[in-house]
Amino acid sequence: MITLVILALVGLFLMIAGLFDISRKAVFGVAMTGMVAALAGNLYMWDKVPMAYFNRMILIDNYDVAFITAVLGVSMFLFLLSENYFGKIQNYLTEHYALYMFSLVGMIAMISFNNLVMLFIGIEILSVSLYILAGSEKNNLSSNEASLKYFLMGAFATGILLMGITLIYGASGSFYLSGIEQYFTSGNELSPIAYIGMFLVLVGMSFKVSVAPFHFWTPDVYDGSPTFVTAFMSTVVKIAGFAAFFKLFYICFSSVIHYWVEVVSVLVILTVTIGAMTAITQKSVKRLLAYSSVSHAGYMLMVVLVGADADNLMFYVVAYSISSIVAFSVLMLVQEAAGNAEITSFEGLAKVNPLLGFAMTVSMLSLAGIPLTAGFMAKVYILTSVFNAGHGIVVLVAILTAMVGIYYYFKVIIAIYFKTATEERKLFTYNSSSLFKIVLFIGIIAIIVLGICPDIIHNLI
Amino acid sequence: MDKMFYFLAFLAILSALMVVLVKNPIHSILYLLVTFTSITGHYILFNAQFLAAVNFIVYMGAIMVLFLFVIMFLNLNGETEPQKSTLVKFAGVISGGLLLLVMVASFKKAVTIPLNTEVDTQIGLIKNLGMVLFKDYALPFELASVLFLVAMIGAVMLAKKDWK
Repeated sequence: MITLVILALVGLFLMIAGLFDISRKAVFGVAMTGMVAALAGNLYMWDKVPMAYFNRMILIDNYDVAFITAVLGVSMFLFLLSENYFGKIQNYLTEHYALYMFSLVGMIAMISFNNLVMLFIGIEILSVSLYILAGSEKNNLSSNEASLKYFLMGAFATGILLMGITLIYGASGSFYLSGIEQYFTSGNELSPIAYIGMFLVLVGMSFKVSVAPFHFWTPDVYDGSPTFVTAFMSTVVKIAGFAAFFKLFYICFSSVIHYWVEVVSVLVILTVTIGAMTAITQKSVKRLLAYSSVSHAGYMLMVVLVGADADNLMFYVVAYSISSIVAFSVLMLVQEAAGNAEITSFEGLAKVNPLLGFAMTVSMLSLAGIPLTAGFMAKVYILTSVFNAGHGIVVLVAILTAMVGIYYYFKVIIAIYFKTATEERKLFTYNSSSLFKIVLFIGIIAIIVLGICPDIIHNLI
Repeated sequence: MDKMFYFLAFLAILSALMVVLVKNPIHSILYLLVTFTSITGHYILFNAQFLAAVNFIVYMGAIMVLFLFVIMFLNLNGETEPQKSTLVKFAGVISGGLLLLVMVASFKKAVTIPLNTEVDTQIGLIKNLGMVLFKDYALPFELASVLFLVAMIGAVMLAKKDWK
């Protein structure tokens, strides 16, 4: 609760600060301080008795504290790499920061919701901020396209989600998670509109976390948005989306799992397959990462499919987020130097700038799931639990598509190490500050350490 | 009461269909107005007088006028509208029809509860609504203000000219 209030206040403060002539460093400092304070307020709730606020609208237990920590931690990590992004913004700088703060407010409402109204409002605050951030490069046509496309499709998906919530309310008579859970576990005959409500909610949530076949917006939106916003959407937002998705299905619908388990396993199979197959042909690294994020959403959905082990979800989102952020930060620098995000721009990167080349390689290995990286352990945990739950075919498909994944992730590594840069590209300077290098360094170490001793964050919740 | 409900429901569905089917966007807006009118009628039937008034003033008054303005400014017509291929249309009809089938089937099977005639007729007035909104749903109500603030920031950021 205190986290929510702090972030909303910092957002408001930043917005008003835009009236005065305030240096970029000060704005950045205020945003970071706000996030640190919010994180401290959040960590204070760890291992306390679950607390309910405002007529049980939100309820905070260890699950929520862990995921809010992940969201705040990853966004702070990302913000440390934001110097180039925020440095280029000429107009409405403080409003950009305010939007990020407000989107974090939405995410926290989404994670800690105890009432479907809160879930809906959280998703809306997050989505509206993202529609704007996706279109924040006003002179870039593809950014405008991304914003409009995301807005139109997102509004439609929100409508479907809302209709699902309404139907569930109509059947169970409650917006509270406990009320809905009671209705589904009561043993009475369930109303048919409860089922259709459940499936409409499934569709709405699947859209928000870009699960196939509701992923069509993902490549265009991720490709068109500014790269920093893409990194934000594919890491922080995904953590919040899956935390809400898992919580809703785990608490409310796990007693009728036999009704949706087939549907969700088909969604998982479609997502991992489509994500991997379409990534093969991509020439742009940004688009490749967009499709890879679709494919990773499939793995995260497997946790919903099993309907247990929030630890596995937690580990997966953290491993995936750190690897993605390292990849996106290298991409941001290369894109700035070369002017595009093609794989050819990465050729010979290892010779020109060894740190960037190595960081990209480690993150690609982790995303592909090569042993000794965090991504490998994350996949092992999830696939083991899916196998134990008896979904052998899902595991088989996941392993096959992971092998396909190795192909396209290695395309980038091969470009970095085994191709030579053109003369022109050898002269590029990659505009990275020492802060940037330190953060990349921490990212690389985190990926490897989590791959060797995953128990640091696994088994926490 | 029942007859009124069915009449309004029929009107709402018919005009909603016309919104999509007519070619002229101005006519679409006018049919949308009819849809909103019949939904306002539904609110009154549900004893939600305040919601009906708000729906009447905000949606039918303000937003519809805005819609009309935008459409006149954009000068839309049939020729500039992109056409989908037959295959996409076919797929859309099949998937939409399947959804309709499932929805209709489940609503038909749903248990109907007889109307409770001893309802408090004051339930939809501002006083009761305010009690619910500011007591039970205080947090979502306050967070909705953050949502509108975000939308406002967006409108200013995206629509205003850059000054540098």
